[in-house]
Amino acid sequence: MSTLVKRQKGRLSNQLRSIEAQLGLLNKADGSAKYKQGDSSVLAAVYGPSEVLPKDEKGDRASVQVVFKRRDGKPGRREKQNENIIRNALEPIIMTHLYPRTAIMIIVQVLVDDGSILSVALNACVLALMDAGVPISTVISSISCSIVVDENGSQTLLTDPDLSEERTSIGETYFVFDGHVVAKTGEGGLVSSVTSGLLTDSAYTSCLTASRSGSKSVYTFIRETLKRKPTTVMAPIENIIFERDEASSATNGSDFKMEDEKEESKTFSNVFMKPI
Amino acid sequence: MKLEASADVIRKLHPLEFYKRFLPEGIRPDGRNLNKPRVTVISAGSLTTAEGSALVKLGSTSAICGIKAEVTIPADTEPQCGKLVLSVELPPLCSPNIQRWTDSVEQNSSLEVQIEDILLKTNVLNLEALCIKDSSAVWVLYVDVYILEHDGNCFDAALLSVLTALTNVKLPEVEVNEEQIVSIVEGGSTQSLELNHYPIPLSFCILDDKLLVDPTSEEEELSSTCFTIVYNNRGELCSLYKPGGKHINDDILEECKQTTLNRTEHIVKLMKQANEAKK
Amino acid sequence: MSKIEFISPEGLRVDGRRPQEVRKINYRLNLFSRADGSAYYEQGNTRVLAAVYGPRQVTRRGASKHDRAIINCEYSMATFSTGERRKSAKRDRRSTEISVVIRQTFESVILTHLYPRTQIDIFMQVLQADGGTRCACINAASLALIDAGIPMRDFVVSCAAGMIDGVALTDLNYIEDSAGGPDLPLAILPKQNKICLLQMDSKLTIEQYEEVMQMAVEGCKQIHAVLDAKLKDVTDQLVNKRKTLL
Repeated sequence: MSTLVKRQKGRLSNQLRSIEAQLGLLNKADGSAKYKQGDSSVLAAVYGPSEVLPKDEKGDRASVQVVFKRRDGKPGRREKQNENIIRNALEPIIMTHLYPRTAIMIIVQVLVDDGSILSVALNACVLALMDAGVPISTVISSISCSIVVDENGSQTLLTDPDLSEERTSIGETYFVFDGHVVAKTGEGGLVSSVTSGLLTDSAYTSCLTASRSGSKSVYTFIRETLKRKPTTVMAPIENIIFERDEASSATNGSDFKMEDEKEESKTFSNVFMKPI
Repeated sequence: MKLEASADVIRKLHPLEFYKRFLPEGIRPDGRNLNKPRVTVISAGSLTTAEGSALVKLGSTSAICGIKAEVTIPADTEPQCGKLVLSVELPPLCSPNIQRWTDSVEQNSSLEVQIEDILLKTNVLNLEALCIKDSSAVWVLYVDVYILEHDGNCFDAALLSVLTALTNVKLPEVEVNEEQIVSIVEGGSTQSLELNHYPIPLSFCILDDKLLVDPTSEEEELSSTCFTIVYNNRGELCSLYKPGGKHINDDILEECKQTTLNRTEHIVKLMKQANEAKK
Repeated sequence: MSKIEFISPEGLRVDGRRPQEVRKINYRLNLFSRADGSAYYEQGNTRVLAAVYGPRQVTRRGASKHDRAIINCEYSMATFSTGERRKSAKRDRRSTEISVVIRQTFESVILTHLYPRTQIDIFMQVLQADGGTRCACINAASLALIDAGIPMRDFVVSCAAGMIDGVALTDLNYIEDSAGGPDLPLAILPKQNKICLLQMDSKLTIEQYEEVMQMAVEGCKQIHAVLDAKLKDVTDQLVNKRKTLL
């Protein structure tokens, strides 16, 4: 179904945009991360574990609250829905039992919305949580896919769509995968999936597989980013092989560069996934 | 008598332990198999003040949907399309966990966005059918869902009530005169709405690594993850909503998709029967 | 006064009732499994649902009373319940006023001193409105409280009466209510013959007032007879079930 098609700005249909991240930007927050995928960028901040309002207090665990703010700050129900989705994905991985009767507040501020904003937001939150030192049981990563129809009526799958691609798509999918499970077994590990529009079964399965591959790259990026911050505590992982596509180093020759300065952002340019 | 009391006590104090006694036997406390949804009861058109209405009961979860139609000026970008405004409410009377209207705001918004995405992005309804006069008058359907009882799985009940209510909407015949005043034609015909397809939902949850179909609210609270799959009668996936929770394997997903697909025909038949009974 | 003939020459009203006749009543108890008590109540075309939760923990810690239960009432109309769609404003002034009025009614009747430091919630939802919604809600709430087993001094029954074209009428429907005449909702405790709620709008002379008041009281008594008869059956069934269990 999905042939490799040239997209706008020269991307291939299974190519992610370049990823950048910066940690610890905000002084007052316990943890913060600015995460950029192409032009979409999100700033996430984590406050907590801290004092909780009596009505939200839970006796045996921390209460996780998410606030999602659009660029123009206008509240709406889609933002409430995004808060719900992000909270549902993060709450199970945060070890909330370690901090009963507290609140962990995660604030997401959209800086630029150029497509796949929910995925970008979730990845930013994961980085912010790790920057704050909140213990999490696994690393999750998120990718979106869209299905577009061309003039001939055939469907193409586009990974990590930008805003113009999202607007013309007939179906959109958003996935979150458990990084450890996917790295270990290469399958399963589906934490979240939200779809919109009409999709055939094969379209959905293709999106699922493509996103799973894409999430591995994001997972790698998150781990590499955090390796640079020695104070972060992460759950140990055994025998993970980080896949490096031979094709990518041959065609473009740009491996991801690691800057020596701790505060500089890390770039992950021209990442190719295995073709479907 | 004594034995009965201690079962209730265990249920309150250690609900997960209580469920662990049942699940390995392949049965749930309410007597259902793990893969059996609750009995669905659909009744259409019982509210006389609304242009379309439906009441759906899934076991102890019930949702009522009322549709009121008003005339409005269409949007400039879509002069031939009518509008659909959806609102879902979980009033405090539906559940002991909701004590004020403000407690359920997040859930309301979530259900509204989910249902609206399905209705509008999968083209369930032809909004052009709601046009009265190009660029000057269209129908706007205010679809209001109230969850009257919340015992798990409100989404399924809400979506089914919206679909059934849409199928029994009766719009009166109207005419527009020169001064742009819309009036009902005396003794005119009524217009019904045709749905392009019927998206039928089914919700699942994973409790103690076992897959449960159509969870009650107790099961939802104890589960490690909950998700909903919506297939239409043409076999297309309209929505797969798994906001988070524990990760699942692909084969479980496939099983759930198949279960949902198998049920669509039965539910569409129930809806059509409900509408026939109304007539 | 208006083009609609509220009272025909034969003395029949718009819907064919006599002036002192109350509309047809139907109700069901124990609809909701999750609520402690619930009732569905129909009076003509007015349909309401009531659910009672309690006695349970107080939601606002500062509000609990050391010697009795606090009563919390919420009245709400569904947006599709009236002819014209109501904007979904849960906290509009009319709903708040009716909630307060109903709360005051039940505060005097429920034996709150038996449940100190707790809260009893009464939620009423109007599904279809055809006049007399606050009275229907009070009746539904009484039934729901009985279903919940919360002890009360007496049954609370409520009925509204009014006067149009000089004729006193019981249980006004929406058309009669909109005629602009006086509207007198009344709630009484039938066995003790006490009034626990009395409201009136518009104006009446003292003699007319006496007449309308009497109509309302008669209306309440009619409703009480209907509710009571069916309740005895329901209770008998419950008692019999219990006997077979024991």
